[in-house]
Amino acid sequence: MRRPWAGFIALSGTTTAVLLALQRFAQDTFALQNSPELRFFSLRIPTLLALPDPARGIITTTPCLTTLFAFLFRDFFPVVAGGLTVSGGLCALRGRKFIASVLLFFSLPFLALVLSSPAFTMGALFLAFGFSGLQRAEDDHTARFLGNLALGLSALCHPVGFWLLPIFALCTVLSVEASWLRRGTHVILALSPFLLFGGMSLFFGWVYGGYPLLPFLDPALSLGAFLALEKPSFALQPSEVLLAAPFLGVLLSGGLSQAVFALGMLGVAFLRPYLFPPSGVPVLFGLALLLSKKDRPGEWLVFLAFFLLGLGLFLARFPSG
Amino acid sequence: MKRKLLGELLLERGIIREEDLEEALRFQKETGGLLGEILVLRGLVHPMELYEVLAEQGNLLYAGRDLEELLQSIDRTLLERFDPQDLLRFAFFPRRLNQGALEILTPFPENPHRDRWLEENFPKTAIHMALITPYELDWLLHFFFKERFLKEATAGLFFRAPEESAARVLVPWQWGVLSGILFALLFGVFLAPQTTLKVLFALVNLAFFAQVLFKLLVGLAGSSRESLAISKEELESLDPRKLPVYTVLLPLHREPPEVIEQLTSAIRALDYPQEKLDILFLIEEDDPETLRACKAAYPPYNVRFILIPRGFPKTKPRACNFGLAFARGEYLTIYDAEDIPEKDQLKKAVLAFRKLPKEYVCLQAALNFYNATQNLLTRLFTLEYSFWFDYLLPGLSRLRLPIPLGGTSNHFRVEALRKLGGWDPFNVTEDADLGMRAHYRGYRVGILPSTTFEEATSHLKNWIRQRSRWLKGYLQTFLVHNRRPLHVLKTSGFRGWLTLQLFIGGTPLGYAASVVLWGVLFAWLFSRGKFLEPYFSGPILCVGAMNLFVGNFLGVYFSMFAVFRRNLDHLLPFALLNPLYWALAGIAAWKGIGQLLSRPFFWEKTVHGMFRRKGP
Repeated sequence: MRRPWAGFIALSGTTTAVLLALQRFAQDTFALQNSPELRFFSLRIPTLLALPDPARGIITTTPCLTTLFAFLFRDFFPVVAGGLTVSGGLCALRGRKFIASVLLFFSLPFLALVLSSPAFTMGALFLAFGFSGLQRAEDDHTARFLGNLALGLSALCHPVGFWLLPIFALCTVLSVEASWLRRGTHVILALSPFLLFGGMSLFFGWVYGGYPLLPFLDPALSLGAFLALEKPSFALQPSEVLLAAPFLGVLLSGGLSQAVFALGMLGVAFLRPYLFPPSGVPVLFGLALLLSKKDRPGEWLVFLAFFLLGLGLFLARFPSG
Repeated sequence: MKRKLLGELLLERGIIREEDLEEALRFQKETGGLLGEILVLRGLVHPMELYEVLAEQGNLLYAGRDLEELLQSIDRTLLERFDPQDLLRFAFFPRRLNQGALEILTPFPENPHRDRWLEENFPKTAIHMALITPYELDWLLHFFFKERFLKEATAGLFFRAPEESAARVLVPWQWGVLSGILFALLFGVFLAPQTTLKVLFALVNLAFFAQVLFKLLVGLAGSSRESLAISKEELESLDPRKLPVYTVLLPLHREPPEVIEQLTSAIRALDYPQEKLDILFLIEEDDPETLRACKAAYPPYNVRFILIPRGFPKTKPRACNFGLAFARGEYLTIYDAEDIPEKDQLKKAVLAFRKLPKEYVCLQAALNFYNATQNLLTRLFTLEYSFWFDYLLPGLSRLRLPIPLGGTSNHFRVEALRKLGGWDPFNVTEDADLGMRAHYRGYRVGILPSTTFEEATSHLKNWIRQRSRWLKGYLQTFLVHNRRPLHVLKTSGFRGWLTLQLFIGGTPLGYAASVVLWGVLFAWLFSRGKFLEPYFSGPILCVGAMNLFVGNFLGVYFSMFAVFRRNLDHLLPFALLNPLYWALAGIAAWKGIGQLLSRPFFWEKTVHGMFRRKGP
């Protein structure tokens, strides 16, 4: 693409329009009404607005980046996050199974799920960027730098970033063919942004709350703590894993570390009840297709069929009125 | 009668042995150099002996035997008719007019360019020639023209382009603006202290944030692959006979003998035909110790000693300008006394210049340190240099932004360097200024994929001296080029202008501000946010927090990447101590600001030779 920015703007514009329409259509549905993420932000934002200094409230909330987005865009936060995610993801994928990716990103379940889990979407996007960057990092230091930074930023978007990065660090140590000093360096570089952002929350927790872990443990301040308190909402489980599928498609284009990462991701999904994947089989099948070396329309039809199944599952949970 | 060959004459006189001659001839075949030069450079023949034989061979007179007599024979009134630059360019010296014939002294009797020039300027005048060595030619030029060279070296730029010279720290309108800002600040503090401080904090934080963003973008641009790659095959395929003469300027001042010895070894180790190296040791006249040390090191014969006359300002750029007048090369580079460039750096530079368009007048090689692990300071210095030279400068180059050149290992096209007016002797970071000036005059600076290893300053006091000079120089450069902001905008666009503000001005001012901001942070921590609450709230708090965390983190993280790229993994953990290092830079910045007001042209000399390298 000769003008990537123009492409990016066109994509994000289209996505935002589609998402806006969908948000209006689905605002009374079970998925959006019962999304723990949306509930967390809908409780947090009025509190922030009531503070004399909302900035202080934002930096003491974890994850703070998505809180900032939610604060700035309020009801439109999911639309903005979704628009950025879809267009960013597609831009990153340009030239690599592009049509297949467009189909994935614009499938209704995915878009609907973006609306219900915007923070997770952004976190997953950064994870995808991170891994995509690290895949190209062998001789491209920009990709490595941005990749590591994106991994760290994922922790600023959703707690999933916090859980996945240690797994990633382990994968890195195992996959790099170098001395242990070099492997250690890789790990330090990968974890540094994450440690910085974690450190920021600890610091502000200490300064403003008197207790560093406050932004991580208080359900009013921490999305992670809030989600842990929530009863798992069964209807959202397949959707959230389906949500991760296109991102994983970005990530899993080969390599041991990525495969280990995928297993780690599934492991985390099992550990966190609200990520438990009853539709894990179609996800894995879809991933396998995504990993195939060429775009084959027949296989994509099968994959889309599974997506339609996911859509069915998802829509089946929509209340009729 | 057939003229005898030089080698035969030298053998006849018993000056060289047959096997030496054979080897020299073999070498001549490979490199295409002059036999006499090769013999001299190998230390097989003394230049005076060579020229005596050459005189005999060409039926000429060698005039350098008695220098007193030579001096007395020079017609001083005749000299007024010559521009010393022409004498240097055509390598001759006018001696006298004798019965209508012009007698000249030259080390190169066969020089068609000179003959043509003389024919044009002295038509119908017979030319008689006598031989002198190149060293004697330099000596004569220095003896008779040093005042003119000195004037050009010191005030040339100031007279030709006063707006580009740092001889005046501030021009009147800059005084006015600065005074206005100071007055407004004092007025504000007096009338509405809280609002004034709030606005000040906001502005400082915003400027700091802009600088962080700028450095992030430049660093990212610099982290991608090298755009100017030079392969081993390309280097090996270079024909030594077609390599141009390369001048190396070595400004030396109060250098210990060990440093001179190391320098001499580094020169000998350069992978470039020695007869095509034109090396100038620039030694201050009032520094006999360095001169003695240089003589004692027995440098090769391609080294010329140029004595820099006393004068003001006593700076490295003044010495370099003086040396530039004597440069014979097509290309030129500068090294510091303690530098150890990669052996093939000059060849790489030649290749790079050949590959790049003519608008590229300078190439900056990366600098790094050979004593990185000497102590904590050198480790932190290495982290900083790795980021600066491996990320920031390549990033500026890739984004086609002006590049402040680093202290040494800048490679120039000599012709363009002369057109630019050389270095500003009043600017204590003359290299940074020259890089900016080149850009604003429409030239470009590239990055050479080669490294020169230097000695990192290992003593804190010495480091502060060096750093305060650099930061003072950046401020000088910032003020000089901000005299004509519209010109900067016109010649290099908004991005070029922004580079001047955020990179050149932003570096010293950012360091100076960071010390204050760190102080504010600690006060804030002490009061748990209460004491400074009125000043840090809302957007200011967000930007301040971004600066504190993201700004510092990016600095730390980039330097981690920089040493990772250079495979200096053992330095990685030390990157976490960078904020301490920046605090030191902040102290140096304030010292630099103070000096800019009190002693703007004072050159704080960095002491070298504190580290002893092991092995060759």
